[in-house]
Amino acid sequence: MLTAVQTAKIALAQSAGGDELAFARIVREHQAMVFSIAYHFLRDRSRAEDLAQDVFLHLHKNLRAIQSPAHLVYWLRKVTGHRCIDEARRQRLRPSVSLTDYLEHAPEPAARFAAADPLLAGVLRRLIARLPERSRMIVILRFQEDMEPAEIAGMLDIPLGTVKSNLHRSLALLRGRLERERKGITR
Amino acid sequence: MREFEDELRSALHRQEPPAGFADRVLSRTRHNKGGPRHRSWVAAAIAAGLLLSLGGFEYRQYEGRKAKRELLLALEIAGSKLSIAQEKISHLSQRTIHE
Repeated sequence: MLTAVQTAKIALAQSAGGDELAFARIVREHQAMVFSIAYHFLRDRSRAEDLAQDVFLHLHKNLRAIQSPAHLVYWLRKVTGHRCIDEARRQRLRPSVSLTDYLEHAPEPAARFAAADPLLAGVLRRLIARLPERSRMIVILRFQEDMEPAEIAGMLDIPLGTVKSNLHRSLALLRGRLERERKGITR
Repeated sequence: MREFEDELRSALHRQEPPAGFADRVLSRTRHNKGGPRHRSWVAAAIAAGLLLSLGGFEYRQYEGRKAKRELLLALEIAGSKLSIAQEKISHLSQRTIHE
């Protein structure tokens, strides 16, 4: 009986050898991770899908450089993270607002906000989307991917102290903004 | 603080991409594979076209040189025949004067 790691190793080796089905298995296994990093960062499903597709195409060209299943996850997170930040910076130079983007950023009606936790999650996602690019990526990697600050520092090529202080500031900012939104609604 | 972090985790849970995502990725990888091969065919066709036109040009040059050589030879033959005839005429006219 093969373990999950052994199966992943085999799929990786077969993909590098040109096996299309093995590559499809890799895509299906990691698509939620790649897409979600992009989606939580960009807040636009269509742009997130385009970016996630580009990441997997890039992986397809670089399969031989991937040494293990753990390296694959690290590689995918790193490439996705950097591409998201680049995309957001490019977008800042040519701002445009999609309908989903508009709906996500539109002010939440008081009744909807107070109703239930899924709505609180929506507000939190909207507040995260307002963070500066690097802080936003750090928060996503910490709370979506459960990565340790040291792993995030290595992945984004920044000092550990910067990640820790950034996380601390971002959390304080998010809590403060959430409190203001709550007060604004209950007032 | 812990509660707030859990709320963040819940807000940032992983989501599946739209249906057919993996198929779209695979279709793009197939398209990319065809890309370089297609480009190499185009390059080969352009190279063949260039070779053909260069060959045609060379052939026309060769034909021109051949025609020139043949014309020169014909002129040379005609010139030598003409000088023989001229010699014969002058010989005959000298004989007529002496007689």
